[in-house]
Amino acid sequence: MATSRAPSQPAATDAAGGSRLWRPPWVGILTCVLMFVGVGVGHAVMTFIEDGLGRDLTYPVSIFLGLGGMILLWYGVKSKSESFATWTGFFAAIIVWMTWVEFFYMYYGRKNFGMLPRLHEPVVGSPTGEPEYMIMAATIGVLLTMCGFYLFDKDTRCNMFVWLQDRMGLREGLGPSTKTAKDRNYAIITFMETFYVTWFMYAWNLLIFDPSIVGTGQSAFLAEAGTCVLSIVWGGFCFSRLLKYRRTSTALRYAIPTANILWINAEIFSHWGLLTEVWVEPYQYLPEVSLICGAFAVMAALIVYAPKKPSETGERQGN
Amino acid sequence: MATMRLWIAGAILLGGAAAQGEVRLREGMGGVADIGATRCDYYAYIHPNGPTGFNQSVLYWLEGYVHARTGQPLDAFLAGVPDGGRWTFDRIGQHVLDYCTANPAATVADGVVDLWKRLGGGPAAPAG
Repeated sequence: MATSRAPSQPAATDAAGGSRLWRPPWVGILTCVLMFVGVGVGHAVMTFIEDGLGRDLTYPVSIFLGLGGMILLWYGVKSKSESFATWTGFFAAIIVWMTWVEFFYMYYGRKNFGMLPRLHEPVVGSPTGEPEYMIMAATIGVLLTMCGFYLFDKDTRCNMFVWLQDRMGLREGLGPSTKTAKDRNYAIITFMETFYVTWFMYAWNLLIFDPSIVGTGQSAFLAEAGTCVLSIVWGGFCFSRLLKYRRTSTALRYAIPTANILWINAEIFSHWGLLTEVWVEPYQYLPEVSLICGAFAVMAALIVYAPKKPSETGERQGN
Repeated sequence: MATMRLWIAGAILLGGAAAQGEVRLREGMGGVADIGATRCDYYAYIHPNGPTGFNQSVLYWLEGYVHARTGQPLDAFLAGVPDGGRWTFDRIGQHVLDYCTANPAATVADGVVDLWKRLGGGPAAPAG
């Protein structure tokens, strides 16, 4: 659900500063790695919150943490700076997703409804499906309904939806977009983009790990391997477009879906035992997780302090 | 007639073989098929992933055990036990969890039997 169209990007040769770093392909590479690492950081932060507060306290506190995310979004929506709006929209969505979705589902599944996790084996092994994920899997219908809104919205600028609108012959019926760049609020756009992409990827992941849908053994492996191929092709295509980006704010927004699509490989490789998800057990892998968090902070700082076009800082509207 | 007998004998044999198989939950379901047979160390490990549900499973197991031993529903049994009213849903679940944490090599069934003794019930039924 990237919100900016790449074709306008290569033309933006008047990008900020004369630095060689802030040119294609480095802007795209940096933002993609940043967002990819950011998913791992998000996992680690959730574990830190759970362990720090304890599960019983996490549930009520998450109400207020989510509210804090919405207040952050409020500041972003009010801002004239596209860069600030993009960052606040992104962080607000991550906070709201973690607290009002994941922790709420955790409360309802584990505590309120009395659901039990799926277990890999009857007597040994880690749970393969936590109650919150079983609830989340049931939201696929709502997810697809919302997808209909983006698909049939004439003001959408997501490349994928615009492509689908073209293929479905919708462009004429929908008519021209009523919004120009200066009408667009980048905080709420980034917020919904981050939120929806995270939700979509979770649902996809849960679908291919669901033994009652894909079965077990060879059929499950085929679903997982097929997903790997699809995500590499899809994510690779997005990444190839991202490499052409020059404006950091636009690149950040496009990197969100790109990194999330590619992230599904990390989940599958972990499921296959090819890599250890250190971010899920941050206390056990503290040096590694510290390095990941540090890398995220450094890269985020680089993006924040990168030279920007006036349109990104709010000095001049438009793009 | 002889063919029919052969079919019946075959069906009994197949049924017997199936009955001897491991009880498993349908794919996709949550929980364990036999909570009583679950080892305590594993139970204590997975309990945080569904505390209310696991406590409920233990409650069902206790209700079956009490009914088998006394012929009474759990509430009726607790009514005749000193401090019986103090044994709430959460407290029953916590007792078995505490037992399992302290006795990792035991089973959840052992934890329920421990609770049964704590409630003033008789000695545990002989194994087997």
